[in-house]
Amino acid sequence: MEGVAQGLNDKVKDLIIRRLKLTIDPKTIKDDAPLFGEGLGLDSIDALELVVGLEQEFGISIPDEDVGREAFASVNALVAYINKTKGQA
Amino acid sequence: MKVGVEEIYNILPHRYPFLFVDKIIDLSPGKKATGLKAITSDEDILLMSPSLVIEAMAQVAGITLSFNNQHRAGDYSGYLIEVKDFSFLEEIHIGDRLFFDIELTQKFGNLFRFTGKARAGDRIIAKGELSIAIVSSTG
Repeated sequence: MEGVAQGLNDKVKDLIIRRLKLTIDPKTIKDDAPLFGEGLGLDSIDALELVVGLEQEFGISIPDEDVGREAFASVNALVAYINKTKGQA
Repeated sequence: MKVGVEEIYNILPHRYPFLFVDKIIDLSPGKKATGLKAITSDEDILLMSPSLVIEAMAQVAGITLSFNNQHRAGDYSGYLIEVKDFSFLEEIHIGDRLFFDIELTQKFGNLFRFTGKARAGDRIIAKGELSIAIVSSTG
């Protein structure tokens, strides 16, 4: 199961880098580091792009900012949100 | 629904020569709209540079969002914050009636992303995506 979980972390990092056109190595994104502000330093327009990407590529929606704040806390938090949402589907 | 120029004056702060929408010929509040700008002079052609074609679409998007109940004009301002994947495909000519079609594709918080298309008859003038941020005017 650990391999599956890590696979999803890698897919999320790939989505972040690809959708936001970042020029960094995915390995430099820490699983538990904040995506916004300090950490990866993303902004609100990046959040909108990630919301679009998650819907198109993972089929999950982030309905509002409160959910977004929780889901975008880190790569681990985003993976947990994807798993929780997929589990409810 | 339709929106005439007088109502547009009440919604947008833009004025001649920086107002690029003569009227809205079709609008679904907060979701989609088609705005019209008649190109009647050389001056219009000069004004309708590619960046201002995008501005015209942003103005149509702002008008659409002002019809959201929670975003009445006067209480909120809209800002063009993102332009994405725009292509400019055809020239604009005097006599063209430019239609700006915008449609909401994603909303997140106070950010709204639209697809936009400018067309004159069968000619697609430009197409791409743009995002608007809605911010309280009262702070």
